[in-house]
Amino acid sequence: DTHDVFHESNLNEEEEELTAEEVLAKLQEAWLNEKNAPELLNPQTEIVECLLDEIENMEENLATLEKGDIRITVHKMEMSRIKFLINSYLRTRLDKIQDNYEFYSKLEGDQRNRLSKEESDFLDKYKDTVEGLFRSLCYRHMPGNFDWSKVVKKIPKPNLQSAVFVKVENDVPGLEIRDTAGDGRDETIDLGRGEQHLLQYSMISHLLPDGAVSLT
Amino acid sequence: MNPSEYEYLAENEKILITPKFSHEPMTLIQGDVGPFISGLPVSVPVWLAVMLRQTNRCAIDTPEWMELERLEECRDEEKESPVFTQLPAEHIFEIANIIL
Repeated sequence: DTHDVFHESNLNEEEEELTAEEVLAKLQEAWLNEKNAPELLNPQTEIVECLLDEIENMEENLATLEKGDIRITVHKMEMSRIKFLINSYLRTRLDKIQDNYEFYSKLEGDQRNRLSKEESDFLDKYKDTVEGLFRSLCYRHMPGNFDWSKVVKKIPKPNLQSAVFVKVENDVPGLEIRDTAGDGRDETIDLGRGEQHLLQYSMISHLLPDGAVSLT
Repeated sequence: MNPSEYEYLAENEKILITPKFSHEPMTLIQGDVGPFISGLPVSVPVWLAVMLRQTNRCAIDTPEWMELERLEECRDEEKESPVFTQLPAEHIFEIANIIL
């Protein structure tokens, strides 16, 4: 009996070993999705860290080669390209955080997982800095009895109803498209593999984490 | 997405080149390339092809879809068809711009 329990837990913990090539492909997909989605998606911190390790290893290897070896140029170019991808991915996320900092700082618990630890710290600092700026620039000079804590603010949030181009990676039968204008024009459509559609982001956002669709 | 980002994506596509040098296979993070045998066509990513051509180490072979007849066929098909026809290859505009 105990043998079976161990066997099962081993199967659950078995991680799929991905090749560096596959990790890179995943980062590229994450980058495209992040660029095209209106809201912040799940952070792919493991992928980023894995690639940063690969780059470091590559740099160490290159140091051992003779100067002028063509391989140095080639590997350096590839590393630049990967660094560009990582940079762009992280910057896109930071831009999204800055654009809607109030909304993201109000997230609690599970939803806070959308931000990595570093991004969370960045958000806190950014919020303090911006609010400090507003305070010193104008709040201080507001007439007399103005009490900011009594103001009920409407916080801008990312527009989940924006249209996105969707590329279908795996078949998705029976996708429900709800009519957000309330006119009762609800539809159910089937997405076939390899098709491209223009859809509202909120209708397909649940399909993104599994990779059933990707944004282009 | 700005143009240089589309170019980045296009540069990952594979293209055939005829190298002017010989080298054993190179293990890049994104996969192996090679072996390079002088005079024998080999498939590499576009970014590598461009770099090798600039340093005069290879000649880029015209991709199938860039043959004049093929392009004329596509153009005629597109004129006759009432709906969009399939593009001859992904990223044709970016790649054509890069290698021409």
